Amino acid sequence: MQQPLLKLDNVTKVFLTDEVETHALSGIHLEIAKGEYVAIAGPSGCGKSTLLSILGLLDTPTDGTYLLNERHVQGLTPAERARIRNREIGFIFQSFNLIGDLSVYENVELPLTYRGMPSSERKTRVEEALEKVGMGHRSKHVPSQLSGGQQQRVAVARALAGSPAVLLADEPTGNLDSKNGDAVMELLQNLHRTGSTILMVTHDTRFARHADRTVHLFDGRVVEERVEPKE
Amino acid sequence: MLGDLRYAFRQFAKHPGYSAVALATLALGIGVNTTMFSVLNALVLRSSGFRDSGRLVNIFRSSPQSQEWPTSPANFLDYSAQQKSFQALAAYNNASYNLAEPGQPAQHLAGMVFSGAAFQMLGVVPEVGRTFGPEYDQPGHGEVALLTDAFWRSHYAADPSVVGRQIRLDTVPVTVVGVLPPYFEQPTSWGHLDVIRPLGWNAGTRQTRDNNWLGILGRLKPGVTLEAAQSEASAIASRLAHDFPQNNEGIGIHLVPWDRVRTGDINRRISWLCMILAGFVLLIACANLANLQLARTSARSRELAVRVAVGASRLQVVRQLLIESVLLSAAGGALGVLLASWGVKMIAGSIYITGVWGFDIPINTAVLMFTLAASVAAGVVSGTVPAWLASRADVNSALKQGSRGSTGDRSRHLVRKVLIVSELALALVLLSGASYFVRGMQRLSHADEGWKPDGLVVGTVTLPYNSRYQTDAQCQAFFHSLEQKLSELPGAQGETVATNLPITGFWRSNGVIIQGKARPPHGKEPLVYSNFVSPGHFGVMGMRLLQGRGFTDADRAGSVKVAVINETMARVLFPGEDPIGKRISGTDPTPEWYEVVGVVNDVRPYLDIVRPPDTPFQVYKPIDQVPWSFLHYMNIAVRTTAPAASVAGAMRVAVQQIDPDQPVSDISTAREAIRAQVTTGFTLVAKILGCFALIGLVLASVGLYGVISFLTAQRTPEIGIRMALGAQPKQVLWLILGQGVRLAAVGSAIGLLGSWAVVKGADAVLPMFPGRDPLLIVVVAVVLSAVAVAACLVPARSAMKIDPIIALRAE
Repeated sequence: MQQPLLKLDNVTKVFLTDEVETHALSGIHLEIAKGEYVAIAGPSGCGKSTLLSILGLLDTPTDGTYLLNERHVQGLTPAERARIRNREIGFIFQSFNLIGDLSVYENVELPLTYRGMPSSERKTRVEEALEKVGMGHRSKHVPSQLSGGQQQRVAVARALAGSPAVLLADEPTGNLDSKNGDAVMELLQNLHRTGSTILMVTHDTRFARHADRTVHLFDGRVVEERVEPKE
Repeated sequence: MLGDLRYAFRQFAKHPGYSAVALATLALGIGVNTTMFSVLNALVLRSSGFRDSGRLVNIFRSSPQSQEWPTSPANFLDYSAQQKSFQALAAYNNASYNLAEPGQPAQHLAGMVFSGAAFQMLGVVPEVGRTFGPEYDQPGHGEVALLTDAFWRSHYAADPSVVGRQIRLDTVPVTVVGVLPPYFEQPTSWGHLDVIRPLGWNAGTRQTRDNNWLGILGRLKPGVTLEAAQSEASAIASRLAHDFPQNNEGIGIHLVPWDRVRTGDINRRISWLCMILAGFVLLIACANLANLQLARTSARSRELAVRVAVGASRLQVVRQLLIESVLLSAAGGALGVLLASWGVKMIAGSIYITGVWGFDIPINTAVLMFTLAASVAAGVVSGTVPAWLASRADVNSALKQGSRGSTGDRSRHLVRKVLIVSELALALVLLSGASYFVRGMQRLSHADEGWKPDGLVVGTVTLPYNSRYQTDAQCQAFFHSLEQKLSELPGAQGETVATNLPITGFWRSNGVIIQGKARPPHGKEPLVYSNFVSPGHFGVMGMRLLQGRGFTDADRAGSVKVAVINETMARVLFPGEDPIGKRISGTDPTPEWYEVVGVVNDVRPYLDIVRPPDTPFQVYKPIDQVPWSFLHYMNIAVRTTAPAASVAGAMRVAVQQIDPDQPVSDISTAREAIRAQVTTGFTLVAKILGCFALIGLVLASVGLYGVISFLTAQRTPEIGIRMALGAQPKQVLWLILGQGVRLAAVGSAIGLLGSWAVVKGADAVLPMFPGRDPLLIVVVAVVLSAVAVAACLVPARSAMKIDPIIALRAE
């Protein structure tokens, strides 16, 4: 039987402030297979983004285990976590989070430079990624010269360029109008068709239907898992 | 790395305001340090240029009063013969010559005499011609001279054919045999020089053991340590004390590395003190820059979070920010060198050494290496904490839509406060350091030193040791004529000729015994300074006769020998007695008694500030009652109502009328002489530290303003809530001002501790300098706090005008 690409077992996350203990996630069990497209849905404050941060190694669970590619990733050093983030995870954010002072090309190249990849190989990868999202012709522009939809496509290219094992998308259409939102969803759909594993946080059930499966969170718990019917 | 550099340049171009402020801050900090290091390097650190100068050692005669006395010729020769630690020893002494060339006025030259071993020992290769060797220690080898490079260039336009030419020094024809290389001139060691001549021993000089006037320099043999040489020297000193107790009992031999002697203890310590305080300016600049960078990294928190999210390690984020910081500081360093070239020029022109204004302070490779190191250090110091804090910021929070990226700001706020408190504390230390010297100079200029320098014009006359001034009568005739001519100058109210004036202090000291009192063991007699003066001296100098009488024309050779003593000597050596009529003598085997005829007030020479006196006792003797042949170097002073410039010209004419070959040098008002010879260094230090303090104060104030503005902006929603709940604008004002006042108070408290340490350090270097003033430091602290509060007023007033509705909307 094929092992899941991501596996969370009884994961909890508790935030401690001065006097208050907030349980953001409680006893999360989640498995995501390679090539799967999973949507995480739920109301605001239900723990979606926290879950995504833990999956993306930007945060650590308070309790429970997390296996990425069959490897326990709790207890890794910050440098090891950065290395895994760089090679195995691609992020797509709601607010694009492109660096305004870098060109489109340099933004997409950024994770590859941290990998220490030779510039000729970087060039090939960046050009491929930009072509894949249809932004090859805008490589010399800076983000402020692009529309929101174009910026998000560049963000997708940045996430793709390193050929990560999984793409984590946090409300990728949240800052886009419906037309651009649809275009980005189609882009993700195409990536999924070519074998990418995608985990997308969304509160829009319309977009969740693009996924193979939707996991519903409420108050930090998985309350429902539903396989989306395919047309 | 290249990408990081490219991005850093882009950042600077995109934020020109930030870049300009950071560059200006760094340029000031690094410029001040480059300037000060240039001075330190030139005065203290720079190699002498002599081969392996670390093995050169000065050999001094030591006594309970001083560790660094000169030595007598006979003791030098005995020591040379007995020692085995040194490859060679050379004796030397300062000298001055009168250069008289046809058709030109006589000119006073600064010179030295060296024994013949000196040049080979020092490894000096002449630029032109040759040096002279040990054969010139014996008479009969002709009159020769070496020129210094500076004199050769200024006086002979670097003409190599000057070698072999005869010049008239002290009316004697002397052959120039060579020109010494530029590094031979060691202004901080033996002053500015024009001419070097052989020491030239005669048989009588070789036997002299009671007249100590030689400096001795030696080169240690390879493998011999200073300690071993000192141990041998002490053994030789004991033998000399045993063999010649009359002159050597209680006398030791003290070895000091020449590099320490030539740089001078006080010079070295003050230079280092200024360097440390310059470092404080750089620290303040770094703290300011760190605060700026904290604000910048706050604004860039999302960008940095993205970098982390796409896989940048913490090290890579820190590296990126440090590259930006170091690049900025390197550019600041380049600007700092430009500032330093101006600062160095100003300082170099203000240094006065032995009659010459100006000192060579190069911005050389060593200085540029220092600047590079300081720039990199400034970049790393100011960039590390902000970069580290930025690298550990909460990425999740920073990436969230609408986030201000303020997570982690609590620790950043703490760092900001720590930085600003440090800046204020350092600024207070700088202000205290500057005020120490300013206050000291102010007190000196108003102090009663026991004489009245205003209205005095002074100069020096050095009679040559040649046939014209070979006898007492010849010297006496010259100075009597000169006194007569000085008294006839327009506006002259009185004149004096004296071996010492209280500008540079007393230079002749000897033991004293009192007739009728038990004689202390040899070598344990009280030490007194002796000054030989003409009859009108006390009145001309503005001193007070407290008891008895001063000198008259009747006090001359052949009459009863008389002396006037100072009040401290009268009080301590004649307790409960009337000193008038008592007789005192030097410690020679056959006493030469001088009857005390008067008591005058104590005189405090200005040079005592840097050279604490060996004794508080001062004895004056009539100039006609000591052998004139010992008194070739004399100071003259005229109290006058005429303008100093006209008196100076008339003084020169007066001397020329008596002897056309005889120059008079160093003519100036007494105030100018004090300034040039003593106080100019302290004035310069006060100015330098004043500049440091001003820069430090401005940087710290700007820093405080920036931090309070930033914190106020961060508290805008909070202030909005407070105002919505009914807080009055005045209460908001105090809320913000209180923040600044607390920081200023903590900074001042820490700064006061630092100030105490700096004042203690300065007191240790200059125990006689009247700079300590605790009240002034408290005043300085109050001024600093006031400036700090003023810096908070602008953001506080802005906070008063916050619209609660807008502030709450932002929340």
